[in-house]
Amino acid sequence: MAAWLLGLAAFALVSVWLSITDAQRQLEARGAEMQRTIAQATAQHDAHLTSLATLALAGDTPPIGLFTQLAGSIIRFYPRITSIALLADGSGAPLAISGEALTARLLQQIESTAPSLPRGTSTMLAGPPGTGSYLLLKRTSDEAGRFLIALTIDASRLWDDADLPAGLSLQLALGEAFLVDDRAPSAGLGEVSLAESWQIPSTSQPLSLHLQQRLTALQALPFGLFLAFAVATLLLANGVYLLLQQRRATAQAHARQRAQEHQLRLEHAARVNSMGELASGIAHELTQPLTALLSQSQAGLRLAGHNPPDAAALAGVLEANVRQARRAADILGRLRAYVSKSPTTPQPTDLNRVAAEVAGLLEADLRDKTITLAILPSEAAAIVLADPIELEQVLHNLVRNAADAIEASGRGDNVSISVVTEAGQVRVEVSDNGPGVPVDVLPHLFEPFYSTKPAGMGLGLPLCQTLVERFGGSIEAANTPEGGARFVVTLPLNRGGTHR
Amino acid sequence: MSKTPVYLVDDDEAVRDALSLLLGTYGYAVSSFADPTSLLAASETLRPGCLLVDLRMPAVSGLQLLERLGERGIDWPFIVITGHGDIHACRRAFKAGAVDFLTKPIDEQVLVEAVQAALARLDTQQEDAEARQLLAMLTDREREVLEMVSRGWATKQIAEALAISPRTIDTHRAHIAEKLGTSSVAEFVRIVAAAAGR
Repeated sequence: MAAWLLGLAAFALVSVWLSITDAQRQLEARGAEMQRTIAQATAQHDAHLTSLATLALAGDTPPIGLFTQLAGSIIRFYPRITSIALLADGSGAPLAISGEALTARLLQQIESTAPSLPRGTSTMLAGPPGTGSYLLLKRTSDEAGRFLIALTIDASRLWDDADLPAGLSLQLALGEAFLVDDRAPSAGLGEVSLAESWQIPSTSQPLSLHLQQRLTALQALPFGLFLAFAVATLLLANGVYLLLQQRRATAQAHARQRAQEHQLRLEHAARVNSMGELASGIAHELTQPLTALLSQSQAGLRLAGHNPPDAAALAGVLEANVRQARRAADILGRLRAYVSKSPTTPQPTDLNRVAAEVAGLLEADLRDKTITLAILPSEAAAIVLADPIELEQVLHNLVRNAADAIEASGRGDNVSISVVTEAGQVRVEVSDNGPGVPVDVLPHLFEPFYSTKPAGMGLGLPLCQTLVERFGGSIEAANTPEGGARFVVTLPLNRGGTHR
Repeated sequence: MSKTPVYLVDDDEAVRDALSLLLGTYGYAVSSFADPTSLLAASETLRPGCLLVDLRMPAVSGLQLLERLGERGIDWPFIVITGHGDIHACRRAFKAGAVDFLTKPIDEQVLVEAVQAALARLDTQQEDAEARQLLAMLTDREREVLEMVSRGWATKQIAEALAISPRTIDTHRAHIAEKLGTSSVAEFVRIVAAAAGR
């Protein structure tokens, strides 16, 4: 909005400045034109005076008839010349006169000016104020300078004023005296006044021309254009603003959605990984009794080796070991209670969907290990009644085990989850092309704390078994004919329900 | 002189008892503390020994304990024990100057070797400190002469290098021998090297 207003102001300023310079240029052109026109007129006046003076001196006495005739034709031809008079020096009344009669006041002016006027020269007298006319007086060039010729000229008709534009005012002055002054009252609010002066190049009629051009704000500012500009820019700005706002809103919505999705994924992953958390917590708790058991037993062995053995000390060692073994058993008891009593919410769950979710969770991890995970969903919906998160935990664990085996052995590069519905059951097979399970390990796979991994707790598969059995299913492990491992989870098909 | 003590700090009583008993069968004198605070409280009266510290304890961690002991001028060798053998904790322990980093459950042989190493380090530390104390008793000129003697220079060479008479050098050597409690050049070399921490 502020930018728009600023833009408008700038546009207005530039427009006004352009208008003003344009007006100034027009004023200068008009003034120069008028100066030329007026100079031409004054030169004509001088020429008329010369020819009239020559005529006046044509005989011993002036040919009054011819003079009057010439004067008449001049006045007809040049309407700005309102009268032409021939006067004898020193006498009051004109010898001849064409056009308007000379007023007594004018005659008086002529009489008072004549004595100081050398022969053959002309001078100019300002007419009575308000008449807008002036008098051009010439003394003839004969030795005595007997005659005076007077032209009365309407100063306001020195130029053709038909096309004076609005707001243009004009003054024509002889020295301090204004012959023509159509000045309007001084410039009002929001008006600009431009002024220029020109001197008329005439020795007989040294007039000065002043022009003032007044511009109102309305004139200076091309209002229609300004309005159009204002509306156009407002519309444009509004459009841009709306566009930006829409884009910002869209971006915000996207960011929010991404954040929400990310949060959901994190929460989801945390729930699926809770089994890992549990295992880690148990590991920490079991470390202390195991440490005590190991060190006590090793101390006991040394005590037993003494000669003679310290029976009392050995009894102490064994008592301590019993305490620590019970402590470890209690920890395991709490673990079993946790697994069997933790709340579960069986609902119709599509195993195809569970498999897809697990693939999503493990995607990045497996890609880093350059292991591919293939999902082979069943054609029919594979709906079972179970807690979807717990099923994800089971499949997550099986796929992780397969990936760990592949990574540790360096054999194989592929894990697949296939979902098959058959005879009222859903079979989910997690197989790999890794090293397979050693034959001697197979019978112990689902025993708690049995692990072949260096950092393994031996809890993953027993937990999987517990979870699957909770939903009336079973889990089995075998090796494929190709040598990889295959885990099969079987769950009863839920016929009545709809999937989540 | 009685045995150099091993100070064990672990918040688990069963672990403390078991480790004390096991180390006791090897003849080590183990004093155990249930938490870092009680060790810190007693630290003024304790004889120099080695520390066997559990990394993860409530309130004050093992590494914090070592820091606080350091603030009191106690820099005894220490072994870190932990239930979590993570690499990060291990690196931090070695950076702090641990003699060894042991994960629970701790194997007997590994434990005993670590304690031996820590006590050996303590001996070296103490010898170095003694050597520094001995050298501090010498005058500047005596230290100069000792430095040259331990480089294997003869009295005459030293006299020439320092532009003083061989008799004066002999006097200095007599004073040095008196202050260090030995006139053996081999001992001189050992003391100079130990004081420099070599």
